[in-house]
Amino acid sequence: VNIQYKKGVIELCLLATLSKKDMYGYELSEYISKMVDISDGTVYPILRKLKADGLVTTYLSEDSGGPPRKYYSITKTGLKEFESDSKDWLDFVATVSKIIKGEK
Amino acid sequence: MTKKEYLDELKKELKLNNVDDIDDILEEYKEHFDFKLEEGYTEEEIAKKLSSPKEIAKEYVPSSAPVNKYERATKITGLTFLSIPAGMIYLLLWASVAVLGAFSLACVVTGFCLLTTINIAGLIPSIPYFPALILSIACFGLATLSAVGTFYSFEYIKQWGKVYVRWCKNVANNNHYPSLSKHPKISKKLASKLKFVAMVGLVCFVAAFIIGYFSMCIAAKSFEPWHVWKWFE
Repeated sequence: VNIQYKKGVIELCLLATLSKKDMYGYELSEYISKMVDISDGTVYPILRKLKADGLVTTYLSEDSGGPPRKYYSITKTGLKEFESDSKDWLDFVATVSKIIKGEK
Repeated sequence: MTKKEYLDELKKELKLNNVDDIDDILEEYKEHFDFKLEEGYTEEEIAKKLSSPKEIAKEYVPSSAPVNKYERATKITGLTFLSIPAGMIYLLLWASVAVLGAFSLACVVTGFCLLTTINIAGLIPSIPYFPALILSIACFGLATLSAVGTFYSFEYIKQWGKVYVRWCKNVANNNHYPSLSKHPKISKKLASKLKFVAMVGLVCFVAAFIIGYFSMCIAAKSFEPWHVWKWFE
């Protein structure tokens, strides 16, 4: 599938993932690139854009014992955005699959 | 490409594209390399799997619409006028940090004078040595407490200056840059250490102050020992 096409969806995937739990950058990157075929490091600019838009925030945590890691966590605005965007997406996918299958 | 080559190249490309917070972005890719290295990949393999630095840098260029020149000039004029009172208030904030710092220093000097009975310029009124010793502990406690306060207010006011500058830039450029956190970056370790130090300072101050006062009362046989010792005459 076209790369530009995937990018828009990755935003939604990232919000979906973060709505379940906080994760650090590399963890998110690995998780998403395992599911969707994108080159490594594609999610970092998208995460930054989500942060600039106020949908996610970051904090440093040393819980894992190692050096402090930058964790991403979803904001209230992010959750709202995710809820409405995922609904739109599911409706859209349902419509597209109907059209593909030639249903009326 | 090795890790260093890749990161250098990425830094160069980000600069060419006028991207903000380059260090923060580089840190993210540096971490990516470190994690992958830990998993056993070579630097070349990792770099190959990443998109080229040029492509990545492009992804960081915000897509906000270019700003209308006339509108921008108006906004900058407005911001300039706003910055005059804002700057004054900011200066006042810095002045209060300086006052707090000076207060902390004064406490140290007073504590030192009381402890060693060195009476600089006759500043210390007559007082028996035992209460003086206790009160010097109170002074050091207060000094510690206000030193921690000075550090925090310094960090916060520095951060607020940055936040204000970033906000101005964003107003002039249609939210081109990510907004900054209102809280300064203080590591959890340092914060918990400072909290502990401040608590010790507070306890020393309160306890030594109370004990000091009553030992003065006992020594002077009065609840107002300063009258007995003629401090204000």
